[in-house]
Amino acid sequence: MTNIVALDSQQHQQHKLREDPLFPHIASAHILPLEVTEFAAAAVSFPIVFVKDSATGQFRACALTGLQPGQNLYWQPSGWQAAYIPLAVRNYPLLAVQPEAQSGDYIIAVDADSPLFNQHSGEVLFAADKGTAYLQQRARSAIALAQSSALTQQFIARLLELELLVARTLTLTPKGAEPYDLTGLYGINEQRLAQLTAEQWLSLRANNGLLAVHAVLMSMSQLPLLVGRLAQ
Amino acid sequence: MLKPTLDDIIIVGGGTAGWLTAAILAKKLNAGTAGSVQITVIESPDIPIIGVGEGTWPTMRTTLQSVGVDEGEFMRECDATFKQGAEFVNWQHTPAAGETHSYFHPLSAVFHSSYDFNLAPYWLQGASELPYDLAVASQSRICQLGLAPKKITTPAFAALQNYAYHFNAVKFAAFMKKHCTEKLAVHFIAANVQQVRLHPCGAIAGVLTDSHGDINGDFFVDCTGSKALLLGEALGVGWHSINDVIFNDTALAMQVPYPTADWPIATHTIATAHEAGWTWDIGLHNRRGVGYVYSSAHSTDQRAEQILRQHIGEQAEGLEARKIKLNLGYRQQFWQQNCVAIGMSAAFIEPLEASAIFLIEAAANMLAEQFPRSRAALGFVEKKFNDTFKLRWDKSIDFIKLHYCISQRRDTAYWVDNCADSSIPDSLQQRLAHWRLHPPGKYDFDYAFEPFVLDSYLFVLYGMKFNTDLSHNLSSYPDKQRAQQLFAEIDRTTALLQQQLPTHRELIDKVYRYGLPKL
Repeated sequence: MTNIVALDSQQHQQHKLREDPLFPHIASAHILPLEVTEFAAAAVSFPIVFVKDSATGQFRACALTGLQPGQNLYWQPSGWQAAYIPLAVRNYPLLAVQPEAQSGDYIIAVDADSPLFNQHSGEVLFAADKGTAYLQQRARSAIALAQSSALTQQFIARLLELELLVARTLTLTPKGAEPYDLTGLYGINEQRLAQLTAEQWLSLRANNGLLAVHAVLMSMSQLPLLVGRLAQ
Repeated sequence: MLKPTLDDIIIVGGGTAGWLTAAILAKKLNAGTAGSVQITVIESPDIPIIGVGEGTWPTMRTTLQSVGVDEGEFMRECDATFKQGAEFVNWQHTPAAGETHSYFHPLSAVFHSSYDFNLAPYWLQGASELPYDLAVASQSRICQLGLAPKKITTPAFAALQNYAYHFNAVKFAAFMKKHCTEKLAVHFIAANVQQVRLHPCGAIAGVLTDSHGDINGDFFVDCTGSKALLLGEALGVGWHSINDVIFNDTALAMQVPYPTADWPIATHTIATAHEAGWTWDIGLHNRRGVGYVYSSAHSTDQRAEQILRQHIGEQAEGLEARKIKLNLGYRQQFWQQNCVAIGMSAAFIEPLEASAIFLIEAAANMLAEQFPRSRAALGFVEKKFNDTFKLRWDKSIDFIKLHYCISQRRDTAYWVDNCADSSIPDSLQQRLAHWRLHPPGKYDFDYAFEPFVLDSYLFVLYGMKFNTDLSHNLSSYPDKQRAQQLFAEIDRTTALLQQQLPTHRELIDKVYRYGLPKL
């Protein structure tokens, strides 16, 4: 479970932030959130899919890292098995939230239950009531991620408008076990993409949407590799 | 000389009837495209809309989806909530002081429809210990638990349990007006109609308005409410009263705010029987609509208000009740010449089964599907429309009457009169006589457009503990094992749904905040 609280120079004066290159917090995550700005880099490592957030029903973009809930096939005790590490994973346990939509102001929050956030080891966050240079650098990257997240939402809204999303069910047949369906995944409908009018096609250019669409399509070639990891 | 094609459709009157009809016609007839009909709604800026009921049928989902409405936006703008059925309280027998009893008429005839395998005869033989409504439908239990019919991740207009809506009818009319004029190429004129002009042949030529002069058209839809300015006043089509069958001719309505913003919202209409009528209780997002429908021959208005206030309790303090006169019955013809009446101008029965808006949708759909673009085709469509809607209203009246006439209540003259054979239509009496010895089956509902079919009848009959004596024919029901399996499956489905479904309030708050996913 996570326990998101706003970072506070008084309350968290003694706290430190540690980094762990093994990312233990995603050891059993079968999907990892991705932003549209990461698609091109992520596409060489994972299939990029769209799923609905169970709390809001809104679509979000994700790297598919496992073939059933609780399974992360890129995570090993010895280290992360992919070339790319999603931004949200790198930023953890920090995140930037906008208290009022469109205000441009961000609050830096932290998952207070994360062992990375503690009073014993890591980088100092506050000195003389002020954020340290380390915290400022981490906060900047958390804010950059939150800003990309707005672009991702716009991109997904555009895909929905153009009816480019389509449900995809993966039928998996693990060795010596019953076949099962991995449902709730959505991908880009290539057929529909080919039918777009020139005007619709050009409208995707905003915010590098065409690159993102193709990154998602090309990332599908990672699917058999992901399934192959299961057999290893 | 009248021109041979019908190209200009004038809808007189807005409201739920006018704007829904406009939307359905505009969509189906591709208004706004080359060669299509022109659709104009003339709405009075002065006459307030009567919210003829805030409950719909599940058909409204298809209607809204087909005219291109966004479900989340519609719900947010109309204070809408999900309706999964109705609970009938205290209808079966006269309740002792402080006692209540009830049964559900849920909307899901999807998972456990009696159409393929009728559980009723097995239930009658005691194959389940539960009351009929709970035994045969997960949805009755979902309603009791106050759970939503779907999840926030379920696509717009899709359902895990069948559902309709409760909404604020005034806001709905405004929402549809905006949708019609902005997205469906419907023209809108704000004016009062002062006079209807006829051709020598008796067809309507146009209407004279106060602020826009003469407005001519080829075809007219009368959505002017109970006044029926066109079909009734101008064309002189008479009214067939049904007050010898259905007695409730007056309503007192109140809007009751929730005590707190997170108050649970009922996901079904609660219809509670009283000494001279019944109260409705409809949970919207921000308030309940509560009202008492009663027979003015069996109750004074003063006594009625007393009943309503007692029923609501202290939350009614300081709230005003609005009185609405109901004219029960239907036009002797719904369509004459180039004019059709839709909504209260055509017919009205009390809102017990929320059929008013459904019959508006049904009429608009048939009009759109069969619209006679050629004047020569008018007569044929007119006859078909009149025949089918006479049947639909007669069947609706039978089904409403069923709720009363099989009751054991005899506490007042109202209930005695309602159960007297002389007030029960022959068509219903014949069915009831048959059902005393046979459970209803699918062949009892053989007309394609019957508004109420097998499942609905079963829920009301056996919810009311109607006695069907099967003792002479037990050999016809050998499939006891299959019945047991189905009852067990319903239990399992209920348990699964109970795990997955959020509360109704929780889902409504999320839909208002996030909308519903398109797929």
